[in-house]
Amino acid sequence: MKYQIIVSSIGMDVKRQFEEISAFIKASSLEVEKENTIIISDGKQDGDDISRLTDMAPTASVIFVLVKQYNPESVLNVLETILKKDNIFLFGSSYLSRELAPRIAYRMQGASLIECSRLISESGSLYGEKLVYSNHMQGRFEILKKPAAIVLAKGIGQEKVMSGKEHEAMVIAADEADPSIFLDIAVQEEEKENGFEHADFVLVIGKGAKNQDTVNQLTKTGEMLGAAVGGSRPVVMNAWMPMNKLIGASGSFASARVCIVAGASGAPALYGGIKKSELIIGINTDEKAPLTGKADVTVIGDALQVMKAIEEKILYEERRDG
Amino acid sequence: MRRILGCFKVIPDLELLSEEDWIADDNNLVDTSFVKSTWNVFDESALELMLRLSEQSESLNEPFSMDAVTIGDKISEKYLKTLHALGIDQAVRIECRESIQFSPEIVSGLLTEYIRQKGKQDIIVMGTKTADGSSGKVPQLTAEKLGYPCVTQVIAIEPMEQNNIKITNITDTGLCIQTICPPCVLAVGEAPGTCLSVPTLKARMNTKAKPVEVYTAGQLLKGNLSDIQKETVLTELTAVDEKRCGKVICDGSLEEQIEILYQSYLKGKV
Repeated sequence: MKYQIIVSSIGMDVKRQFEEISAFIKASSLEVEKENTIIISDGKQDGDDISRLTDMAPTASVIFVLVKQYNPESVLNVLETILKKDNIFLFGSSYLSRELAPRIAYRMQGASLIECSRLISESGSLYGEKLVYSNHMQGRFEILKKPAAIVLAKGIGQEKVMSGKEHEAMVIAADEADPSIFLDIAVQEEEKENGFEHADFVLVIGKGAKNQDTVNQLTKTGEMLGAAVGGSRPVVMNAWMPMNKLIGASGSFASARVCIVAGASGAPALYGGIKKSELIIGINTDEKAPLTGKADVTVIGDALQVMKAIEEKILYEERRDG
Repeated sequence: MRRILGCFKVIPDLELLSEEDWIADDNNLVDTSFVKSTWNVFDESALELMLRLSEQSESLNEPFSMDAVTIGDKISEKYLKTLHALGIDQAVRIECRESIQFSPEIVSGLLTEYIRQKGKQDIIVMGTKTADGSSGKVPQLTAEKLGYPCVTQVIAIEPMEQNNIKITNITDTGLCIQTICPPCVLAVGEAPGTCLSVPTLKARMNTKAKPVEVYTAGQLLKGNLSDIQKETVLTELTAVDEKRCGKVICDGSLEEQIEILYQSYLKGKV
């Protein structure tokens, strides 16, 4: 049994995916050889970039699947020809991976596990761990079939990649999407919100803000203090903040020095996105909110009033210190 | 007339469970029987997008007939009745007595058999995943079993002329807007502003007598659930412990509370 690594360079940071896969392999108690790396690319790289990506790969053999315009149907057709029945396929964490992995596993009569945080080999069986029940519980799943298509969970740590020696790259062009089904495809590229991951100070606004006006005021207060400001799922689903400001399982992850959560109950989906923060401060009117036990400290009170008071205090201390 | 099928799941409202409730039983399940049920949020968005698509398609004189299907117990019928009142033509419940929340192969197998046996659908919509099982693969497996293309992370669906549809979905690059000729499976993701419409009391009264069709899993599969080969099986379930020290500042005036917060936690950090 060998690993085949599948990452995407379409809107994704390839180096980051390699580092996460390295961390995943390190965390998994498996001694399996790496076979090759497959990079799904939209052909926007020039020759130098292909060579750079190849050198970055953790395996000597690298296969590029080039698509003019990404379409899962045509990529699946290529993957079927280059993935091997007995292997473990490690997909980097991306929308593309979550879309492709279950389908390629089904076609190859294998198994898939999405959002897997660790693989374990015990008594000849392969197990994968993932969060279930809205991230309240961790499940261990026995993987009953080969090949095993595993999509990494978001927010897995990073580990330096030991890149393969004497790289050898091969390029396979995928067919274009079937024009009788996909009549027209256009992509509106969006600027990704990468600020949260590297921010020292993050403010997360929850549904306790109750309305657009309060969200705006909290945002202004947070920005005044130099925080990267994001929102919980209910906040973006109510369109009080744009989708790229979503913090949590479906959005961005923060690992800040200080993370203030204002008016959010602390549902696991949100908590998953902030748990790597050094200091978590909750602001909530309900002392019994789940976040209280998961935060380092909680101030009981109205989100806006407390944030305004924090702003005043910090600005006062700054003025005093000159 | 074109047909669209909305697949949904009624789940326990997991946010109502308290910390001590998160215990796995001998069958690797958590007892959620005492909390109220709710729509799975992604399925709710899928159903709302289906209703909007149907409404918009009427202006093109190419209307959709809408059906809804769920796999679940009798409680699900209350939800199907709501969908009747919102204009669904056919409401179907698949009765399955076994616990299948961690068996996406069985869920997709039952949906596929229902679609194959009870009539071809042009569009099948459902949520990307459910809150409890969280497999994230039922739409993809259903598409594979039916041999249909599948688009995931869908946030909008619009009718187009000549029976085509325009789909907007989130990708790693940004938004992808594509015109597709059905049949297809659409997996709805985080779609802002898609809470399910609320039917009027009049609509509820008018559709009260409309029956819910019920099939058993055995009827659809013509065999046992165990005949469907599983890809994975849940062998262990443990509660996630994410406790921190959880200090609460609640005494004194707001100014006094912020003074404590600043001096003990924030000073030198922001």
